[in-house]
Amino acid sequence: MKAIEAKGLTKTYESRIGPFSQKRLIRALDGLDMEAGYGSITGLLGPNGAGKTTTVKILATLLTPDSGEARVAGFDVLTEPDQVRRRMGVVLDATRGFFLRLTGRENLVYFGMLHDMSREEAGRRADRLLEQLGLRDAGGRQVEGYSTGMKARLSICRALMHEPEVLIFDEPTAGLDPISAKEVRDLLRGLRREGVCILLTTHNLWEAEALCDRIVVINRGRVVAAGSSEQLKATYGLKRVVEVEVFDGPARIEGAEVGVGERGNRVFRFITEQEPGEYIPILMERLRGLKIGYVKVREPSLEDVFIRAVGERSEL
Amino acid sequence: MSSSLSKFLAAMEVELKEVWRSGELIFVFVLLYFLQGVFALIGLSMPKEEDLFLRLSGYRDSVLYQLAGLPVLMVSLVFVGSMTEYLMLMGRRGLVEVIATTPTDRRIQLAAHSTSLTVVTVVYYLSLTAPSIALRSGLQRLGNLLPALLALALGLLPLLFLGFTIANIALRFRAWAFSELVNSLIFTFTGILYPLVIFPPLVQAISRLLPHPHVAEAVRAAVYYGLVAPAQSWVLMLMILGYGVLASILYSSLERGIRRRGAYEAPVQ
Repeated sequence: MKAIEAKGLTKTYESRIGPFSQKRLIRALDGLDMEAGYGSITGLLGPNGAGKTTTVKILATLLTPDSGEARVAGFDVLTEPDQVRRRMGVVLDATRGFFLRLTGRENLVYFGMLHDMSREEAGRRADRLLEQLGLRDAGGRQVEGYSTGMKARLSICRALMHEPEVLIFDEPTAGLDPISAKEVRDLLRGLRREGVCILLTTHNLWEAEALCDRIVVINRGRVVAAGSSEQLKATYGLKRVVEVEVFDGPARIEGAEVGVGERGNRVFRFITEQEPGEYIPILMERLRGLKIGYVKVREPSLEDVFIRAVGERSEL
Repeated sequence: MSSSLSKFLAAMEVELKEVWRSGELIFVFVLLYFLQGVFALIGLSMPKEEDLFLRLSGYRDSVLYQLAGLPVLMVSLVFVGSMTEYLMLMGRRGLVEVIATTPTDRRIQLAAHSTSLTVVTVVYYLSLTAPSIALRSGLQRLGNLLPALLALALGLLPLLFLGFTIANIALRFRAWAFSELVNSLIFTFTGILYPLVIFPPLVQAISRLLPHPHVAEAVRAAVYYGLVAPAQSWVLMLMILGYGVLASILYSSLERGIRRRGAYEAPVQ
C-alpha cells in the first residue's frame, strides 16, 4: 500500500474580478497523478502557481477536489477525512497556527489532545519533542515571544505530536538559520528511517536534491517530471560539464565549447556522461603539452532539470 | 462522547488562559462598572417618571430594571458580537486551518470559546450585579440571583445559536461589520434596557423573534420575583430548537464552502 496516492485530481478556483465581478476560472490542478511510499521523502517542486499548495491542501483534507481521488495512509481524503487526519501531520505555514498567549508546551499538549491523546501522554510527548527540536528552555514561554525559527520548530513539534505515519511539510526549513535547518533535515532523515512517509514542497532545489528520494515536478496543475534526482537528470539527457582553463593554448579544441574565464584566459568546456574518474585522465592525455590553469567538474543539478521540465512540459 | 468532553474542557482551559493572560478582563470589568454607573445616573436623574415606567414595563425601579438586563446584554455581546470576530481572528492566526487538520470538530473550539466567555460573564454577574441589587433593593433580593442565573442559563443556547447564525451570514457575505450592526440594533430595540412597548409595533414584532426580549424578561422576572416564568421558558426552548437548526444548516454550508475554496484565512472569498 502506498502512503499517498492521488489519481486524476482536478481543481478549478472561481474568482471574481472587475467592477461587475466578472467570473474568472483558474485551473489549479489538471489531472494530477502522484504517489509516495512509506520510508521515503518525496519533494513536490514547481513554479509559483503550479498547483503545489492545492495538491498539499487536498491531501491534508483541507480542500475538496472537483474530480479525481486521493488516499493517504490507505484512507480516502474525501470520505474518511478523520482517519486521514489521525495518521497525518501537517505543517503548512510554519510560523502561524498557535495560541500566542499559551506557552509552546501548552500549545503542543492542546493539539495533542485534539488528536485524541490523553493530557499525560501529550505532556510526555511534548517534552520529548521540545528537547529534540532544541526548544526545551523555550517550552515554558508564551509563543508570542518566539522568533520565526522557534515558531517553525514548534510547528514541526506540533505536526509530530501524534506520531503520524505520513507528514506533509510546506517549506520545512523556510525561515530557519542554517544550523536549525540542518537539524530539521536530520530529523526528517531520522523519520524516514522509522518508516514515515514525508511529502514536502520546497523552492530550495539544493535541499530537495539532498533530502528527497523522489522528486515530483508539477507545472500548470500536472506532473511534468517524476523520479529520483539521478533518473530525472538521465531522462533529460543532462551531462557533466568539465571546464578546463588553458594558458596560451589553441583557439579551438575539437569537441569543446570555448569561452573566456574570469582571469581572461581561454576556458574549454567538455560535455560528458562518463564518470570524472574515467573521463579526466583521458582528457588530460588529449591536452598533454598545454599549460592548464584549473580543471572543474560541474555536475548537472536539479535546477537544470527543473528549468527543462517546467519549460518543456514533458511527461516521464 | 468522553473524548469530545475532554477536548471541550481542554479547549475551555486554553480559551480561559488566553483571555486571562490578555489582560482584557480588567478592561471589561472597568467598562461594565462604568456602564452600570451610567445607567444608574440616567435612572436616578428621572425619579419622577417611575409611575410612567411602571405602566410601560410592569416593573418598579428603572435602575434595577436596567441592571437586571445587563447580563443579557453582556452575553449577547459575547455570543452575537464576538463570534464573527473570533472566527476571523482564528482564520488570520492560521488556527482554523491547523484545527481542521485534526480529527476534532471545530465547533468544539467555538463552543469552548463562548462558554469560557460566559463563565467570565457569570463571574461578572455575581460580582457586579449582586452588590448593585443589594444596594438598590435590599439583601432579601439577593436570593433571587440564583433563579436569575438559571433563566440566563436557559437563554444561553438560543443566544449562542443566534451568534453562530449571525457569524455565518457575516462571513458568507464578507460583511465583517454585520455582527456589530446587529448587536447595536439588539441593544437598542429588543427590550434589554428599555421596555419593548415604547417601540413601534413592527419593531416589537421583529424583536420578539429574537431570543433577547425573552431572556431579558425571564432574568428580570427572576430578579424581581424570584421565579423563572414558565411561558418564557417554553419560548426559549422553542428558540433553542429553531436557532439551533438554522445555525446548524448555515454552519454546514459555510464549512462546505471553506473546504471547496480552501479559504481558511478569510473564511469566504
